[in-house]
Amino acid sequence: MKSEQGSSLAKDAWMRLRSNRMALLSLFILGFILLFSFLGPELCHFQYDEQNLESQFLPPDKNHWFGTDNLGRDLFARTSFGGRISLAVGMLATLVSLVIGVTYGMISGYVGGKVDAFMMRFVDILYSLPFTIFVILLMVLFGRNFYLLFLAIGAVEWLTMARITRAQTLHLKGAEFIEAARALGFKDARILFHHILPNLLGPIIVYATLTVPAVMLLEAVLSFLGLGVQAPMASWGSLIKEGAEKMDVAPWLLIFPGFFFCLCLFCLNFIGDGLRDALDPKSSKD
Amino acid sequence: MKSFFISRLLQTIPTLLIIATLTFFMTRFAPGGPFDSEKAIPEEIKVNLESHFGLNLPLFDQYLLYMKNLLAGDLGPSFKYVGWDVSELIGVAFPVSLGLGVSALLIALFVGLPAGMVAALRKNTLWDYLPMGLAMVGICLPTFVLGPILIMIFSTKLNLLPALGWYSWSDLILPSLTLGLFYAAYIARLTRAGMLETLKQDYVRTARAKGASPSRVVIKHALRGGLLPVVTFLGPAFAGLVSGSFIIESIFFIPGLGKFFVTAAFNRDYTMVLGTVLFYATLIIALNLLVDFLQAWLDPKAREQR
Amino acid sequence: MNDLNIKNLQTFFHTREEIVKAVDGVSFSISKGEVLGLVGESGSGKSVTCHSLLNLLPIPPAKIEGGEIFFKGNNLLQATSKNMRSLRGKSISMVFQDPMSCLNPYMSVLEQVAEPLIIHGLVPTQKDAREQAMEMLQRVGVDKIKDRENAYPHEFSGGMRQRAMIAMALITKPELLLADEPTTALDVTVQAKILKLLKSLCQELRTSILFVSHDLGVVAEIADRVVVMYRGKVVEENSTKELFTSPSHPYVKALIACRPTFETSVEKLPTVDDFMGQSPKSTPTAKVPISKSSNLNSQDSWIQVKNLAVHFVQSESRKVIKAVDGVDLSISKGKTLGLVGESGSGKTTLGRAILQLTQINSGEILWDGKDIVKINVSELLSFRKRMQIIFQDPYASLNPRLTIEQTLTEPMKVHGIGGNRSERSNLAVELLEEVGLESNHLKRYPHEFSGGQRQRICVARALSTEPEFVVCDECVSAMDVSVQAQVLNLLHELQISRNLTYLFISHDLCVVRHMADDIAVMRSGRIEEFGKVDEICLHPKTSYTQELMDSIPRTSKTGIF
Repeated sequence: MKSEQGSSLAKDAWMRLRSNRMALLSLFILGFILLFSFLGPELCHFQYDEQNLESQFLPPDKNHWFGTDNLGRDLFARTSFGGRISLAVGMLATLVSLVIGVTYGMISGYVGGKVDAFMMRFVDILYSLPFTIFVILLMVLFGRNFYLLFLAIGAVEWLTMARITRAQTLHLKGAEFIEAARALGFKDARILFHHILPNLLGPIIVYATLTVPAVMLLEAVLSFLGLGVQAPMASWGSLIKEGAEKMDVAPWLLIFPGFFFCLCLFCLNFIGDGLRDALDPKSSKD
Repeated sequence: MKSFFISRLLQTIPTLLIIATLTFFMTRFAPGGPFDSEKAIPEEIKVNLESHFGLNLPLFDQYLLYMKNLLAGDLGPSFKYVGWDVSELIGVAFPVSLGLGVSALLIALFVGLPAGMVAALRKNTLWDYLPMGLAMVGICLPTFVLGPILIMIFSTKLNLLPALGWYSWSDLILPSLTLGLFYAAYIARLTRAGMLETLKQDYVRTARAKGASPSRVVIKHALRGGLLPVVTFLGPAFAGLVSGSFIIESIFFIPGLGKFFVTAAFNRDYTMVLGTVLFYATLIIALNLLVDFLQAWLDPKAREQR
Repeated sequence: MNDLNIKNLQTFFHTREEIVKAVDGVSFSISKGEVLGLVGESGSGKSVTCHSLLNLLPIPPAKIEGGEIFFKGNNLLQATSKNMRSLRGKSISMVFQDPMSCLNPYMSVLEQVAEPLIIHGLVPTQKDAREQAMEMLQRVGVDKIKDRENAYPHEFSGGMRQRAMIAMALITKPELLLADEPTTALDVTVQAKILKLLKSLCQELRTSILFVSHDLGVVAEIADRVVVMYRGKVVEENSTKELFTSPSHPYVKALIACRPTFETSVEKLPTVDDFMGQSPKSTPTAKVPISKSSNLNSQDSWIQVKNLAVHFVQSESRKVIKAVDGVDLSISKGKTLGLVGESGSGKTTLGRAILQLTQINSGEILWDGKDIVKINVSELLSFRKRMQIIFQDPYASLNPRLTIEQTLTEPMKVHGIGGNRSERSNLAVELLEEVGLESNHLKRYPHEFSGGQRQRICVARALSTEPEFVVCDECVSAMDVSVQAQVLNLLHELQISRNLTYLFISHDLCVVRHMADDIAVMRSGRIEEFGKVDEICLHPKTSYTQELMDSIPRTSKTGIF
């Protein structure tokens, strides 16, 4: 931000977000979860895949902070490692969907006419496909591959992103300041990247924030069906699956990963809501 | 409007063909085959089996054969459940999933709609904060966390309800609650937002200026517009209920179609996989069409645009 | 006897930052059968007063803090909500500004018109209610209602919707009608008809009217007495005639003086500041007629439009809409061509077509004989330097994410004006000063400015490429008259100092008459009449132009001026 005197929309939005207590708290908790996931394995003196058959199903104590599982693996190490995987899948797949969706939507909306009609019809058809089923099928048939996983999820999520971007682009294209830009003799590329894209950022950020939990959920669903990451690797989804199977003997196996997973979704949803209110004060819920 | 729906119906045909083709080649190009994984089938039996199901033909001929049968309405025999046709298997398994899905949807609507309405009408009071706080929790609590927790509380600890299996009506309660609560939460949020948006509209003020009572304002004037977003959400919700049922059926050991589908995919039961995918696709497309009808019925302007 | 008596009404809005005293001690009364005009600019509190009467404001943030509202002896502010409901729509009815958003889109028009009868139990059956509603709709002149029993609001035109609103308000034969800007969203010809209808119906039913409007002309046309509000307070109350002939409050004087009228033309419009004593240098009474010197034949036309056509294909019905349907025009250098027409006449499309912002179907646009339709894309991009546009809505026409400096210097950079950054920045400061803003505004964002200031920024941006020709598309239509006067004066000064040529598009004949040298009247995509401004305004040749002129609400028709 170059200017000091003016208050840009982004600055105003940040001020509004800061006054939203729930969103701010969520931001802090999310930061903590990120730290936990990315630094946790370093803090812990066990490896996530380190088996110790003498210490099976130990409840949480001061050695194993979150207890151990059926193979005696330390749950703290596994939960924080699983968080890494879950968050990474969430963010990477969102990024994939963001890049594809925004490009597609922007082109479709800006070019308009027959091209737009055709591109959107294609999205409509894909939309009516039972995509989750396809993702499941893909994972079953081609094995559990980390890259395939977020590629498949990203491929599902880009559709909504494309729709949102296209609608916003269409709306902006009709705005008088874009028409003014055309009247000023600006080239299409300048209009698209200098005038339309910055104004798309708000809705895109909001939707991306809400996509991350959706993706994490889908990853967890796949993991839960036994289609996600492969043991001894772990994600929150696969940990929850193991926990659910053994909750009669060792409830902590469900509680810890479940808690972190839900907390993370909770925060992301609150931040998304808060961002939406902050970026678009008119639509706020009062 | 009629032409809109006719064109939508016609559009489903190529969509289904694309799905069939995609799934067909996806299953065939995947490593492994239906008779590979088993322990030790003698080679000649395997060859026999493969020729029995036409697997020895060139791939493209198999495709044409399958499509020909498909257009005649025949989904073919299952490779794994010997003696069963795919359509018979769907006929047995789907009612179970349907029962689960419908009861979950009913829970979602009967909990979500009133909660959202109350929250909107009593904005910024306890009646707003409480249901909306719960709704936020409901959205963030995935079925595969909620399900085991509910089992832990109601079956293991309190011993009130059966945990697993599918034998009596009481078996329906926990699974449909687990599946329905997420949608209840989502619908509650949508209803609240939709109602608040509509209550702000100028025509609601007009209704008040006419002297309409608060209940009349809400029921006659605000409700229709307020519920439109919920109706729009029903489309994705149906699709979500389908994939959600996979999880629920695996948590609660329910012999529904979702369970069959996942097993079939693991076993490379080609016809069963294709059949279920096509069945699900048809179902979702049909339900989306139903949502379009509902929207058109609720919104006179949408009627014209179609 | 007074029907309505308001004493010292105070309605405040409680926002998080401050308390806004929207209505601060307002008193007036309306007697039986009277039409009272309530006038003020935006933010004066006129609508809030009106809505306070029926307690229709959203509470919170609004709160009626004090005062009394007596309706036939009962204090409405102490009425129970049940009593209030029995008055609303039965004894006191209301007509709102925007008939599209104020009618329920999910209910048939007939049902909505009949609803007050049902709510207040005035008819025994639903069938009776529908019959009476049908009768009322016919009375207010809704066409062919018999065939459109189940029609929804979106199937009606704007004028017909407003007629339906009036039918809905008057169906219970109320004693008082609150009309909140009821004709603001309508075309002048429709407005004239609606005003006439409202007046005659209310006389027939002996209904009093509180007529809220920002438009003095409209109020002069309908009201017996006028109350003028300014910043939440009543500044003047008088009979219509007295108010217009001898206003006493300086603000009222200013309001009357700063609207361009159809009859008189002045070089420079007086502004509110002139009257409120902030700038002593100008002469508030400067209503000096100016001579319109243009002569179509004496000067070579500079821009020529020949047989221009723009067609759109409506996406849903596939119908072809001929927005511009064979138009010939010529614009002289340094002059203003006023383009007048009602909504849907194609005037905006024509303006954009001349600037090559819309694809045209056929025709030529000649600049000094050079057809700019035929030039290639890159040539057109650089040609755009010479022609600019100013839009109606100053809120939507500035990119919210750019500072004023960025907004002003980007076009310079693209067209190679100013050698480097700091030079362009200096040019931007000069532009800002030229349009009456200050150099310290440079680093701010659009949302930090008022509507009038934003329009000045838009003017500055249009000038940043040093154009010769500027299209002003309804560029003062959304403004209060006091701001409108300032912007019109600015445009006028710039025309002289920079020798600009304007295409001035507006629905408002008074404004066009004030600004233009030549005038073109447009209707359904065609030019109805084209000629010198005085010629057309004084001696219109077609009946449509005549109707347009007659529909202008003006103080003179009531014999005041």
